Amino acid sequence: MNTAALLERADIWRGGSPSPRFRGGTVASGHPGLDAELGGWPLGCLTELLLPAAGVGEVSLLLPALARLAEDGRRLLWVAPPYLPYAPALAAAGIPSGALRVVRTADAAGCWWAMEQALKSGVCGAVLGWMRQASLRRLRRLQLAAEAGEALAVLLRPATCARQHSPAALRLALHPVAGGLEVEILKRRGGWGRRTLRLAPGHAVVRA
Amino acid sequence: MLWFALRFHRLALDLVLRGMPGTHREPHAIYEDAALPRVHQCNAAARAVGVIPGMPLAAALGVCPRLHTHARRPAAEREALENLAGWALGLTSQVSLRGSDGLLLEMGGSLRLLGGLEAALRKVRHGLARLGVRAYLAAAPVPAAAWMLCRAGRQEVIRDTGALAAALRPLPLAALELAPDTAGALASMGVATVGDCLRLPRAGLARRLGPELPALLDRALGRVPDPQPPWRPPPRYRGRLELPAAATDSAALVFAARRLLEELAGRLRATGTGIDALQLELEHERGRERLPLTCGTLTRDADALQELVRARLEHHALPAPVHALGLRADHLPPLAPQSDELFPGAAARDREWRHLLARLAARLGGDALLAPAPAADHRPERAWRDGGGELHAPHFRHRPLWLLEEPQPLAVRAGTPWHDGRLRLLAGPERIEAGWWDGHAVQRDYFVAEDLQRRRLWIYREPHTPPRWFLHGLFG
Repeated sequence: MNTAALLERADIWRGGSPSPRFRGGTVASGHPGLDAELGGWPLGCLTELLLPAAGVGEVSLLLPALARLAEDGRRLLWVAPPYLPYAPALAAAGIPSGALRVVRTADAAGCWWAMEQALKSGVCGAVLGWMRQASLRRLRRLQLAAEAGEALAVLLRPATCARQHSPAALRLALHPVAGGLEVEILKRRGGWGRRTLRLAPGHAVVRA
Repeated sequence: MLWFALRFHRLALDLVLRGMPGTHREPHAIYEDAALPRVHQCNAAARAVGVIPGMPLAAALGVCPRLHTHARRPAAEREALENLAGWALGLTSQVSLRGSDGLLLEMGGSLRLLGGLEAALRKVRHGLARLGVRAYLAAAPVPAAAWMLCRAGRQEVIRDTGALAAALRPLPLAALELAPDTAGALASMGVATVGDCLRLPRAGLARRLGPELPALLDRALGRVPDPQPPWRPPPRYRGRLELPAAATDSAALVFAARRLLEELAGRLRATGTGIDALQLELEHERGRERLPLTCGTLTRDADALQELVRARLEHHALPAPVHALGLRADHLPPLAPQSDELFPGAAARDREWRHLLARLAARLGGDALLAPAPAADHRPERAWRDGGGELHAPHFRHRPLWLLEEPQPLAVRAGTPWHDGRLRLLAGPERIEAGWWDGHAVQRDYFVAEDLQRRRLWIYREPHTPPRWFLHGLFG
C-alpha cells in the first residue's frame, strides 16, 4: 500500500490537517468558521456541549444544522429541555412542527432510555438531551447508541461536568461573550490541542 | 393442487411450553381433567424417566415426582388452532381446520410466490418454530391423503395423484380415523393397513360397513372431488398464552408475547389488515391486569410491536408473578401492502418514527411527549399548542426559542428590571395587545434584554404604576 492510498483511509488522520474527518460523516453547522475547523457537526457519535447556564445560545448554535436535517425529512427529538421549546421561533428557523418531538418527564432514567431508543431507531436526524448527572457507564451506552445510527447526537450539560471524563467524540464548552458566542474545543476525536472560536452575530469567525 | 396437512400432535403441550425458553429440559405433562386424570401429552424429558401418554396421572407422578403437570384446556387449544389458521393465511388464502388439531392448506396456488416447494416447506417449518409449536407436515395432491400421511406421522410429499395408492398402502388403519365399530369390524377381518382395505372388493365393503369407508378411500385417491370448507378469520384477534412457570420479570413476558405477536402479524399480513392499538392482559393471582397500548400508526410489524410491549413492560411493576398472558386487538382495519414488504422510503421512515413515538409513550406516558406547533394567536403563550399546528399561523420575528411556562416576575431596582443582576435592554418595545374578546386580555411591551451572563432574555412590562416586569423567554 502506498502512502497516497494510506492517506485515503478514513481512520488515518494527518497531523496538522485542519479538519480531521469524523467516521460517520458530518452535517454542515451553518457557521463557516466552525465548519472549517471541525468539518461540520459529526454524525453517528456523541457530541457534548458544556454550558455555563441554560439559554446561552446553544440552540441557536445548533439550529442551522437541525433545520438542514429537518429539511431532509429527518426527525428531531429533544429530551428534557430546560424550558418549553417555542414553536413560533422554531418555525421561523425552518423547523416544521411535525419534525420535532419533545420528551419532558421527571423520570431521569426514562430520559436516557429515550435518547438511546431514538438514536438506535435510526429514524432521527438529531437527538438532543439536556442531562445533568451522567455516570460514565451511561455516557458509554449513549455513545454506543449514537454509533448504531447516523444521527447528530448532542448532550447538553453544565460546564461543571467539563472535568468528568467523557467518551464523547467531540466536546465543546460554550462561553457567551459580548455580541456573540465563544466556542472552546475541549476534545475532538483525532484532534489535539484546545482551540477557541468566536462566533459573532452573522457567523463571522474570529480566532481568539 | 398441493395440499399441506399440518397436524399439531402435541398442541396442548406446546401451548404451555412455548411461553418460556428452555422448558424442554424439565419434565412436563398435560393431563385430561377427568375423574381419573390421565396423561394426555408429555415432553421428551418426561418420557425419558418413564412417563407415557395414557398412564394415570398418579402413576406418572409416582415415576417422576418432579413432573410439572398442567390440566388440558380444550377451549384454549381450539383458540390456538384458529390463531394458527390465521397465521397460515399468510401462506395461502385457502386454509381449513381439520379436526381438533389439524390444518389443511392448499399450497398449489402459492408455491411460485413462495419460491417453490422446498422454500414453502422451509417457510412453514421456520414459521412454526417461531410460533413455538410442533407439527407433522405432509403434502399430497388431495387433502384426505395429505391428512392420512400426516395422521400416520409420515412426513412425506406426494406430488402426483398416480403415486397416491402406493404411498397410502403401508399406512396403519388408524390413519383413516374410522369410527370405533368400523375399525373393530375391519380388524376382525384381518385388515391392518390401508393397503389391506384397498384390496377388499368395494361393493362388499360398502354392503358390510356402510358407504363411508369406500367414499373416504375414493377421496384419498383423488377419484372424487373433496372440497374443504375454507376458514374465515374472525374480525378481531384474541391470543392467550399460559406460562409453564409464573414469570416475575418483563424479559420472560416479552419472550412469551413474541409468540403471540408472530401469530397476530401473520394474520394481519394475510388479511391485509393492521392494528393501531392492542391490549396486553397479564393474569396473576390477584386478578387480571389490562395494559392498553397504542401503536402510533396502523402496523403489522411484529418487531415494532414487540418493542412496544417491551417498552411498556420494562418499567411496569408486576403486582404478582404472571401465570398467563393475553393479547387482544378488537379492530383490524385494512392496511395496504407496506413498503417494508416492497421498498424502503419516506413512508417506511414515517412508520419507524411513529413506532419510536409509540414506544416512548408506552414507557414514559403519553403526556411526556410534546409536539410544539405554532398557533394563530398574538398572545405569546397561546401562539403555540401541542400537536396539530396551523398552516396559516402568522410568522413573528424576534421570538425566543424558549418560553417559560409561567411568566416569572422580575425584581425592579431603580426603575430597571433585574434577573440575577441588572438587565440591559437591547431592543424593544414591541407592543402586544390582544385577547380582550375572550377574557384573557394581555397588554404588554416586550423587550430583548441581556443579563450579566450575557444571555438574551425576552421580558415584558405591564403598564401598571409602577410598571411590573416579567421574564417570558430566552433566546437560547
